[in-house]
Amino acid sequence: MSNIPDHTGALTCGLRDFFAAADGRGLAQAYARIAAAGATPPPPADWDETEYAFNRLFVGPGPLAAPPYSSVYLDPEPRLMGRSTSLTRAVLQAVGLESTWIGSIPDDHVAVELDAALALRNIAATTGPGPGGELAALRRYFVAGHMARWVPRFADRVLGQLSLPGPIVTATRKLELWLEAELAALPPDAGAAPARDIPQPSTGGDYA
Amino acid sequence: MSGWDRTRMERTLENGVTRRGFLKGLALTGAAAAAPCLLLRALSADANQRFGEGYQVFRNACPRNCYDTCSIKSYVKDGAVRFVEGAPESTYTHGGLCVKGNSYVRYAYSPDRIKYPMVQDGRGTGRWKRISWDEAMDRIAKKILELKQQDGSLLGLALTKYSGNFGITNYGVEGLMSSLGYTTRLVGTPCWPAGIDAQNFDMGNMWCNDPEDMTQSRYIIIWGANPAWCSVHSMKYIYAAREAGAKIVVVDPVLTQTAAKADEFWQVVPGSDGALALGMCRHLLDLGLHDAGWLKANALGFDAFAAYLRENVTVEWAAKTSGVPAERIRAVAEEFARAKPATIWIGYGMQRHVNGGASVRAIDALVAMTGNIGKVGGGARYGHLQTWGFNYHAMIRKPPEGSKGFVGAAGPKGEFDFAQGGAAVKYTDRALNINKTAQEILDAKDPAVRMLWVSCKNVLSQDFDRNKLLQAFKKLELVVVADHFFNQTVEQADIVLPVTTLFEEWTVNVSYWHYWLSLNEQAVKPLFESKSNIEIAAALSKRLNELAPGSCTFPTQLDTREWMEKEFNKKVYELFGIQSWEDLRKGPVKARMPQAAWSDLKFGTPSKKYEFTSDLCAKNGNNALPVYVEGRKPYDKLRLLTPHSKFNIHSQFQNLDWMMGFNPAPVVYVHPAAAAERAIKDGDTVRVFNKTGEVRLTARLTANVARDTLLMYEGWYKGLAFNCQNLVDDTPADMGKFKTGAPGVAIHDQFADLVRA
Amino acid sequence: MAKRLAFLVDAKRCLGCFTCAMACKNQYATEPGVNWREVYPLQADIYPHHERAFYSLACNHCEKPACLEVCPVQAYSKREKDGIVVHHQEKCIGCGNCIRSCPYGAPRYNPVEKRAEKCSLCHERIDAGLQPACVQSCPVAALTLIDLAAGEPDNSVQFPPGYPKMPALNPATRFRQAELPIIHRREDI
Repeated sequence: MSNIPDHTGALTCGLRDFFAAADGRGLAQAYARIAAAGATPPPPADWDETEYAFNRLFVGPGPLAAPPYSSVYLDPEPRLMGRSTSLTRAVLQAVGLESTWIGSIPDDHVAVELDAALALRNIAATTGPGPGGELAALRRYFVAGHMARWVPRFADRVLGQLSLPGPIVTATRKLELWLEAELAALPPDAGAAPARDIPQPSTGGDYA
Repeated sequence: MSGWDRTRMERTLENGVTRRGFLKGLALTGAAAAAPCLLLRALSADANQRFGEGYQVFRNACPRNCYDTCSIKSYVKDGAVRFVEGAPESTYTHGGLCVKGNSYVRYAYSPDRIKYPMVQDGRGTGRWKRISWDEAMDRIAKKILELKQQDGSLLGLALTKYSGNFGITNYGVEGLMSSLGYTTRLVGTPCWPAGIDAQNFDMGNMWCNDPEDMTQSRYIIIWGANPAWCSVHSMKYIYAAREAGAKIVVVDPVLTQTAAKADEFWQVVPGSDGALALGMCRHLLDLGLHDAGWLKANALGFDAFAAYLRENVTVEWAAKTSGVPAERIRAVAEEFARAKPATIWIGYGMQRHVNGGASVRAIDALVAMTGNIGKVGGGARYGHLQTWGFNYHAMIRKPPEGSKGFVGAAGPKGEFDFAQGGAAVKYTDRALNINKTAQEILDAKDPAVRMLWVSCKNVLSQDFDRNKLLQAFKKLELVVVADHFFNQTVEQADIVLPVTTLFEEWTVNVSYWHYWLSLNEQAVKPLFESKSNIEIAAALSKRLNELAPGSCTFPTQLDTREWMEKEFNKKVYELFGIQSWEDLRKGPVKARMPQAAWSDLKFGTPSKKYEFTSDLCAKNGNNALPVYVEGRKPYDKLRLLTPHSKFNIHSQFQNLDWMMGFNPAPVVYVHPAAAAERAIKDGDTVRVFNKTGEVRLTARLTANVARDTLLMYEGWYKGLAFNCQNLVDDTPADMGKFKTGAPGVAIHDQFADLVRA
Repeated sequence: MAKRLAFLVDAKRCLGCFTCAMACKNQYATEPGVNWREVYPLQADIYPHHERAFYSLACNHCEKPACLEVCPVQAYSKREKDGIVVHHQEKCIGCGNCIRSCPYGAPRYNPVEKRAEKCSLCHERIDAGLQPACVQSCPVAALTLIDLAAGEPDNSVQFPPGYPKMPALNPATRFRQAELPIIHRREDI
């Protein structure tokens, strides 16, 4: 699998739709979008097992095996609507946007953050870096300083589960590659800061 | 800004003022940026208000099954509750909550919360699919209509609901059932029914003094209650009484936390409390320390009681039966009679025995014969429902025309059945005993119970004889559960519905102990797709009426705030001295009632007096007098007690990570001698077993329990299969049916043995 | 005159209910396992009944704090006006010196943020005229805020049994001892 940046946003949209899917049909449709954006293993004939696993990992009703919210991984406390959620919301607000789920589903759900990354890329493409490079800095913060700090841990949590159906493995691996490509696609930074704030594995405090 | 720095960027983003200047001059339009995005839209106009510098403060109330029913202040920022505090306006809550209340932010925002309606493909398999609310309502509605069509009634649909949420509008669940027709109801209460009946037989109502008047008690006996764990806000009044010179005595089979704070602790044989109280009564009679004047004016049947005491009760017998030294029985009885006023706090644990009702009557008698009923600082305290005079607009609903139901005697459906009374009807709901849920479901026929609706209850964690319950569930064709967390009942559900927490709905709350009224405002939007119980009812009604017009009389649209408003009436306003519910936004208010229950000495009994001789009690299958009734004979080697922990309210709170951090695992407490006999050391894993089932857990050795007693606390620990109900059978208590529709359960008359695992 | 704020831990009144410990978590949303305040049951040699007497402990806001002495980046400061020892989290580099040096275990390691943190006596609340979250929430006033500059509280000790005696640090916390009821155990067994 290559790590060519997703210029058309097709992969971003496919991943977003996958992690936001409400049922097996939604998962199948999203998977098709992912497949259209690049080489992908064939889909299963029956999506039931994938749907059950998807719910077990990301939705419920039981405790989630891999909660798809940044605040679970980044905040001092694995919770919803934490500090990280507020930061994501602030990033959106800074560019005049809000989540359609606002108030009822945390803004830092991976699907919302994928959409946010897409929005920031589109704005950068149409508007440029902004006065004093502020827009570029905001985009760099969001992708390198926020998503890059939790998405890999989220992916690790998913891939560490046993007996994962193929589509979930594929989507998660594609998510990791998407992130690498997004980071590579960030405009070079004038300052001396590193391209990526590499998180250390945590020894405790993980939501388990 | 050159380069970037994560910390600095985060500070900019969090600082509203700086953020508004950020990206100034870029003239971005949100709409353009949102174009390819599915989950984003342009910022709405009021967005800036949401990022206020300070907090919005809301009024809430803890709706759990707890004496203290705290008034809460919730601090909201950016659309989420950030932290909570106790309301300072209530002298009872006094600005602070408890270990459970302080974990509410973790409760509401736990990643474990059930988020969407879901359906399980095969009960207990863990194969869950998400469905929309429309689909969930459709499935449920169709099943209900199928039942009606096949059985000719809705008696095949049963509701089991109890104390998970005491917000008054949640009686809309019962309202939903009534608006469908005549259904089956699991009636009664596992909690306190024997004592309720006992107090009704003695005085005509269960009505305790204002707990805040304990500061004026000169003698307090806490009998089979553990307020240091289960009513922490009451302890300050007990301490104040002691500072003013009162004596505090605790009677309990266990050296509880409350016992450790008392002046004197009596370790008592479980279930022998009636004998102990009668022994004290006999001694006072002999010394003439009873209040003859009060008794003459206010009591019926004291002479008969005195005769019974003389013929059947001695202090020596009471000492032998209860294990309490005779000399202490005499001394404390005298102290109690001489201290004026004196009071006894009768705990719910005390009456969870086969003779629980009789024991309460005996303790009531001790308080009455010393003239302490109707006095500030006195009284036989148990509970009250004096402040619960709402409209029950959510609960009281008419069935559809032509509904068929059960033909037979209709009793109360529980102590909170405020819908009782009214004209005789041809049909009623079918009442099954909630304390024998498993057996009743197994036995029910014509029609069988085919569908179960569970709300504000956790059947498989809390009901008795868990193995039998699992058998009973096999008979059910559809199990619908409304809940917050994936507990042992949700594991066995077909459809789960996510409900709102206290922060996400409007309602109103009062207590069964203190005299305060609290508003519960909606502080934040419902999380995910959760709905309040009445919104669920409305949604179901909508679908039912689409499929079969007229099949449900519950309104199809509602607003929880309006329904909260509709619960208020003139009586409530007068009782609390407010003009409107809006006054409660400023804080909770206290009822303008005399602090002493029965201060006018107009008892609610048939004779209008305190009845030592109660014909009503006799008519209900017991003795007219508060006689001694023997306890349950042991059926195994050691007694097993399963009372309440400070870390949870039944199956709520203990599952939270914050609580697991302070209390990680269930424990069985064993006396060192009993442990030694079984080669069990402190910290060993043990198997506790009896005829009903078994549990595995860690043993801790302590002399806080007697050598013939095992102690474990009921509760639900996240990720653990531990459930003490594996060991508890459904043997009834002696009273409870009169006022609550079903007898209580002898929860603490269980026995077991243990062995190293 | 400058204040010397301190916690008064009244083990006689204390119920071991953990309200204080949870009130702190409620206020600061601390990491699981990282509890700035803990409630410790007293051992049998100090109080004979298992899990029936407790000391609620956070930071002792010592006169000569060990944490402050050993911090290489001045992430601790002691306020002149009231003696509160504040931990400045943003300066902390997670070296662990304070964690190793405090004999009372007040600074805790946060493995996610990779730095130390501890009770700073709710100094922002104090400055707003409020009580610390733990003190406000205690249902029986077993945990209260006192000013040692106004004198030692009645009937209290600085170093009760079971609590490390470090007079050089001069911890500010004061204690009242737990008491025992008269106990009558069953005579039938």
